[in-house]
Amino acid sequence: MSRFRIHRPFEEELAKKADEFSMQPSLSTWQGVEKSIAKTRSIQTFWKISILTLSILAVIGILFIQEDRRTANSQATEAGILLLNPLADLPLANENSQASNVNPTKSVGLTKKGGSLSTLAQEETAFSAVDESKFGAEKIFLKNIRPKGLRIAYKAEHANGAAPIRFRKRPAGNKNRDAWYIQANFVPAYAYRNISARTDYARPLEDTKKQLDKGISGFSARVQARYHFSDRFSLAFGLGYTRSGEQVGMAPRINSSVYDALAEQYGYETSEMNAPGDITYYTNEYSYAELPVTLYSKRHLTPRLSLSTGLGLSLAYMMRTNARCYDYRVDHYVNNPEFFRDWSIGSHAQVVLEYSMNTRWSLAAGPEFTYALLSTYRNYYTLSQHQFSMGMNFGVQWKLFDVTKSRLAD
Amino acid sequence: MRDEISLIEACIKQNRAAQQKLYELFAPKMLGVCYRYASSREEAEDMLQEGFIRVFQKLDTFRFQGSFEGWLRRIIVNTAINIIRKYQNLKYECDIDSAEYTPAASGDVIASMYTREVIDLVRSLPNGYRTVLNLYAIEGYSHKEIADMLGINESSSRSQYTRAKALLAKRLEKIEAFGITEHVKVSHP
Repeated sequence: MSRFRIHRPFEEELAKKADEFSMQPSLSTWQGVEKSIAKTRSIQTFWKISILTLSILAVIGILFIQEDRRTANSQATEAGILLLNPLADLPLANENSQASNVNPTKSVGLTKKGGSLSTLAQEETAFSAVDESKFGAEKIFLKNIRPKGLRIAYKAEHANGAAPIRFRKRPAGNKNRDAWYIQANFVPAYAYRNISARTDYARPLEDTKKQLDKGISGFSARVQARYHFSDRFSLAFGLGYTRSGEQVGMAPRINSSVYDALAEQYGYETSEMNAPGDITYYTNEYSYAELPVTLYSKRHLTPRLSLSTGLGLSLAYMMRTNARCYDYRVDHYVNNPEFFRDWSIGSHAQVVLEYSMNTRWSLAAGPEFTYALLSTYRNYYTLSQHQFSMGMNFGVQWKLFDVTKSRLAD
Repeated sequence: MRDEISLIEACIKQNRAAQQKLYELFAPKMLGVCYRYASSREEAEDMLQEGFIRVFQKLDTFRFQGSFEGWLRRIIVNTAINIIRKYQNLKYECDIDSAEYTPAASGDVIASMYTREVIDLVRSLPNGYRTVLNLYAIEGYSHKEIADMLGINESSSRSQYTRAKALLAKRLEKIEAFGITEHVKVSHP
């Protein structure tokens, strides 16, 4: 039991007085709130754009699969018969037989009536094995024919009687027209920046920075969808992440005690100060999320090897930075995110050698150069800084669909 | 009421002007709330800033049922408590003598004082007492809720409140006798 008497009026009066009390907050409090929610707004915008981009990619991909199936099936049905002589004495392969067991001197017909994509892929194997110019129409060398493909061909041949002999080849070129690829790239790079003063009084700072600052190692990583609208030209777009930066030599011009007084006024930290003349090195790092778009031009060097040149732009959002930059108001290097631009536009150029390992997978490697078209700093800052990087692009590509419209076309 | 709903809806749509208006509407009162929990004005402003950031982040979870100010206040108070738990020692820092004589806390004296004097009186209490007193007597939380919020036992909450009230009662008695300035020593912003 309590020693104290409970007086209801005490709590009521206290709550009443407390409820009447208010204070006017300082302007910096709202600025802090505003800055944080503006960041949230930007991040939300970025994710909205990313989700929209991925959704568009997904819809295009699904539509393309459907269109591709419809076209392939339709063309196969209309064309009916594809190949050569009757299969008079061709042994009907069973499920366990191997392709190497097929008599290489026999001719074989392959047909397709509204079949599935996987069956078409089997036919593709047959096509690739035929070398008409070498063996002529009467003697077709076959290898790697799967039993199911042979059975389909045999049945179709008998169902249609004496089928017209008609061998179809892919038209020259346009092997990749309408093809979709998914590609992933990793680019380790040397990152640095160009710097220039926006005002006369900042020129000495520009000179100092050019003497003291250095580049650092950074990297980019991208996942993109790539659409070939012709055998030569293609467009890639997707998501990326870049880490870049520079090493800065911080040389303040005033004593730390003077700075400390100013720092309090502007809300900066008072730690890690150094005296005038002393140089402290610090690594500025910037992390960007990107939406890159790249136009490629491809030239075949050999059947498997090609050279692609890519040029592109990317919308970049600065996710975070630890960067320190010079603030003339306190004559010191400070960490003030307000000086940095949230959104930027970058450009990139690359030359890559692409090697096709098979019909679906290929590897790529080559030099890449990037350059930021907008300054890292906002326009009111005394310096303008354009980041660039030089690196080696390593990539892998995966072709989404192995059968294209052109495959069965005349 | 309709205006308030429109304002909240605009804030949910990330309208910057609406967000600023909402802030200006409630910030003074909420800073008053934070000030009762904080050790200094700067800390109170930090609490207010953190609190409003959370308010804007969670605004889309507001159901438009009940008072918006009450909802906002709960977030601000929770933020203040989190900051206190992070940076302050909630143990009471002074003992009250085993109270052979303990005066009753009088609401009459409180009623006769200026608002600022009452707030300063509350703020003159040690951290632990002040927090429990604020939560129980002013915000209306139960001792069980306070225990959950502060990570202490329910009995600790009760005893801290009792001691806080006793300490206040002693000071109120002296105020009645000598006036406020000698007994309420807190730094003014």
